[in-house]
Amino acid sequence: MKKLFRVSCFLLFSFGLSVIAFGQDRFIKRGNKLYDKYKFHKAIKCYKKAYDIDSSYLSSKKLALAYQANYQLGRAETYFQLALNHPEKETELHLAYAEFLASNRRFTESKKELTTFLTAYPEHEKGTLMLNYLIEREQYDCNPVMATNDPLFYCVSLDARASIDESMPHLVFIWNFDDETELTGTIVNHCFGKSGIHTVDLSTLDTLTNFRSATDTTFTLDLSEQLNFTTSGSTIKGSEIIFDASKLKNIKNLEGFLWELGDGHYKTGRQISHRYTKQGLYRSRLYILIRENDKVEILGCVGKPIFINKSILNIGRK
Amino acid sequence: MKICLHIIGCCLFVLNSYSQQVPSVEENIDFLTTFSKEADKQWGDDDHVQIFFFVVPKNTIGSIYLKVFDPDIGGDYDVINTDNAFNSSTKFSVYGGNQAFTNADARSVDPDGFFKSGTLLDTETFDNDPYFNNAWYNFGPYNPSEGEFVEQFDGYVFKVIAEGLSGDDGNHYKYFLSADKVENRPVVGGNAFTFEYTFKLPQNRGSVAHIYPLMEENVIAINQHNFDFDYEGIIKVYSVVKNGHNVMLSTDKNWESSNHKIKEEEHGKSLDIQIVKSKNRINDMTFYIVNQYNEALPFFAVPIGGVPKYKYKVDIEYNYSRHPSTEKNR
Repeated sequence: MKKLFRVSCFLLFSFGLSVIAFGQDRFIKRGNKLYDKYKFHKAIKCYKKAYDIDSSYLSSKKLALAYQANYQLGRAETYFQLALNHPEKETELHLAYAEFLASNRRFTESKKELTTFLTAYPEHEKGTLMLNYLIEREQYDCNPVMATNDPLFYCVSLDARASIDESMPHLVFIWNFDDETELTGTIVNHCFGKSGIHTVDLSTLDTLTNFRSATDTTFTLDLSEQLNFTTSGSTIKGSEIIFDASKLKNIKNLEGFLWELGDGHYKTGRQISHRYTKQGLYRSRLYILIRENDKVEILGCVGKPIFINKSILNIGRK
Repeated sequence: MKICLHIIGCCLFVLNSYSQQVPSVEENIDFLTTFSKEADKQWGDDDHVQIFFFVVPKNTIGSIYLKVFDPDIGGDYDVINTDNAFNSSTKFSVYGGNQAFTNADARSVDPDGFFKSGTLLDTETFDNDPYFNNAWYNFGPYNPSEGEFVEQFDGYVFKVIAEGLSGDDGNHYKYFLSADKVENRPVVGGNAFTFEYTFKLPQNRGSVAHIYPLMEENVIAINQHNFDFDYEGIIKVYSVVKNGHNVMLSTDKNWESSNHKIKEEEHGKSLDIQIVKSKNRINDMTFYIVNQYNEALPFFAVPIGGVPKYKYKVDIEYNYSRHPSTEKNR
């Protein structure tokens, strides 16, 4: 009787495991189908169900890639970390994660992941190509011929003409920036060496009585915007990718945007689209052109690697 | 005028508890001052009388107390004049009832005519009495309705007159409108004001005292009068549209005045008159302001409408540059 009971328990346990495995596999397969049709949001739902049944390496990896494809980068990062810390982790995942990091301009971390990957696969073509790119990128972010490696300054122009009290013509405005620069005048210009949130205190000097007020008011200067652009769309060969610089708004004397797409094509415009016809790694660059003294100059240049795949799941597909 | 006073009435209820202390924390004034009759005016008190009004909202429940800190004239804080001995006395009187506030003489800057109008509720004279040195004296308890009901304030007004009697010394004191006999507990929504202000400035060089006259709706110009500032710094006027207008400064024992236009944006709000000391010495002075009809304007312990700030309008433009420029243009 006891023996029969033990056998029954074993069978029930085995059956349970098979049901779980079957359920998880079903969701992964369904997720893959949706993924192939670029329905990333729905694919994520399926992968999530698979992950809820069993937080396996496969479901973590699938979720990471699907979130990445769906541009939910924070979540993609979470699942990349879960997969990378999983005991069943595959070395290939380091390559996928390196791509993810590079496309988010986290080049140092990307290089580290690639080094790990190439230790296991020293002859891997794409891995080697990518590492070379990263090493080259360390020397210059943009085209060296264009000589745009001077540091960029984040500038602000403050105009207090509307604050003049006509009864106080002898009042001078004093501006104290948080980098300890002090300027006087109704209109002042100042450049910071670093982006970010800065402050400026405004006080006044009455030149008639030589009385200097304490800080009258403080302004917050939001110089957190960085030169950058975004890409969206599919990285499948032949698919449309949108390059977008519309978030760059504070550019004085803007002449235009020039896009170097890395496959020999150049385009202009704040937002452009492009189709890469071959698989491979492309170095896209955006040049921001300004007109100064009747001459067009490059204000800055930003680069971003674009990885074009044969099919969407050719990396890390199990 | 009526609308303005209604606004004042509303504002009284949102003022914080410090409005019950005179001088208030916001004013950064050391003490109120009243010199005795034989004191020379060079001490800063032009008429040896100080009249303050206290507003108690009509819905106040329970008794109120009018407290005087350091009412004696001797010991700490007060000013000894001759012979190294205090020889003076000060009389504090509390008035309520009909005419306490509404009698025009009570609101005059000079203690002439029937300025002691209303019903005398209490009076006490203090001389050099260590018992009241550095201590509080309570007038009251009073039922709020013992004050004069003033519709514009939607509350009852009490009047306290500090009168310098014989002698030549100076009395430095403070007031508190309290809902409690023992503790200084503010009366919710209460406030205090005067039409002529005699006070002791903070001693330190660079200190800034503030007084807050209210600009009523009908005011288009004011004439400020200051007495015995001893040309000891500068006095500036700030408001939402005045960025530190300079005021004519009085010398020792003299009055000085200057005219200032009032704009619509300032109506129903207070001015912030900043008195900046340039010397490290004790100084008492007197201040009053009249409008274009020569009517005195009230100084509130806490400014009606809040402490006024000059409104800056600054255009900010951001841009990037390869060639940093830090420059001024004027």
